[in-house]
Amino acid sequence: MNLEPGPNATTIGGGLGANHGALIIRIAQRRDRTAFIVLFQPYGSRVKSYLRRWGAADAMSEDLAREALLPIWRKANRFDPAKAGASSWIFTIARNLWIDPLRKERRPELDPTDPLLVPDDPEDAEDADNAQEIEQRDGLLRTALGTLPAKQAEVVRLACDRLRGIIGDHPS
Amino acid sequence: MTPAILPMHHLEPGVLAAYASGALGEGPSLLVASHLTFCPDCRAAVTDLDRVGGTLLDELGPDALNGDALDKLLARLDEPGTIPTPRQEPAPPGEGGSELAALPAPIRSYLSLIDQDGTLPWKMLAPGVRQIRLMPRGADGANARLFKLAPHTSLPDHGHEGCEWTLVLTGSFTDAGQRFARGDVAHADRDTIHAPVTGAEDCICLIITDAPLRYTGLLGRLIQPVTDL
Ligand SMILES: [Zn+2]
Repeated sequence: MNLEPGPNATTIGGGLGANHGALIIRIAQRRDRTAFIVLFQPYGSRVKSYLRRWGAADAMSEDLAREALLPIWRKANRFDPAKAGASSWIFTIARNLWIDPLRKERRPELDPTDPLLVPDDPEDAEDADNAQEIEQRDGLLRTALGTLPAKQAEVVRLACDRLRGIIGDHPS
Repeated sequence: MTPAILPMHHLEPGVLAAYASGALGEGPSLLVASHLTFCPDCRAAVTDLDRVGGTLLDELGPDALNGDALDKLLARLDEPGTIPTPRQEPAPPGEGGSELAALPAPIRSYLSLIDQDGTLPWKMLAPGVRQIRLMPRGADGANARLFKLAPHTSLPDHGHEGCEWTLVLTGSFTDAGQRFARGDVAHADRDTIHAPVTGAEDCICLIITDAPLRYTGLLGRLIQPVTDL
């Protein structure tokens, strides 16, 4: 298996490598340091960029970005390619990471083991239980965002500005 | 087994996006996480939004880490297993049929001071109205409380300085001709004057406000000074 990212793997807009999920699985199964090194550059730099958008100072975003990469190594066994692509998984780690130090708040999360959880419709679950399909949906989303810069800007704006801590001013 | 009854009243996409992006404050996030427990549809939407987040992460212009970052990281890979981030454990669900057992895990995690028998520490506000404050009022004025309303209780008409979100956890209420039961979210903004009336059972709700309520009815004016609403 080729561990080097392809020539376009870190091109902005080209989408990060579709094989990154496989690298996370290699880390989980074989503690593969080379796989970790391959993931370090593209995700470290983007997590740092993401944290700076939330207002973290340079030094803090540097430190937090490193912290955000450690779970890729330590929690790789929790990565489930049937549930999320590599980028989504790393995004959720980075998102939860900045909330504590920057906002000094918790972010309450759903507990998937809660006895009260109302389960998904089994038919829907069958549809979703397919890593290849997830990759395809990721690709579609990426394509959609890539061809619609205004829409992408809207989503970024949604995520980073208008809704920062505000629940009152919601679009509907 | 009878199929679970699914919520009829959901969260706006903008709120789910704010939750997925991490932009939503702690109180409203508690309401979202609790609704997600009951709502496969909104759960699926949040999963999709996480995917959008991953896509946005991909699309961000990279901001290179310092030259020594990789070495610093590699040096830490062999550290013994990390101590998991300290999290409040949810209070145990308690005996089946207790009030606590009816509350979703995100809310149970805020109820650490629970009597052994699963009785919740309700404080009386007014006849038929009890509350538990779940977290200190946030810097933005947000407030998160559980309310327990006796059957056939009518809350006074009230307007709002800001926003109010209600998630039904047990029982039901009717407001402006609409019924809200377990898992349903009701939203009121500053233009809403409403007067919910509970059904035939106790109704426990999670209520998040982002500014103090301003009661407009007579009872409201009477209880306002004592309720710290
Ligand atoms: Zn819903």
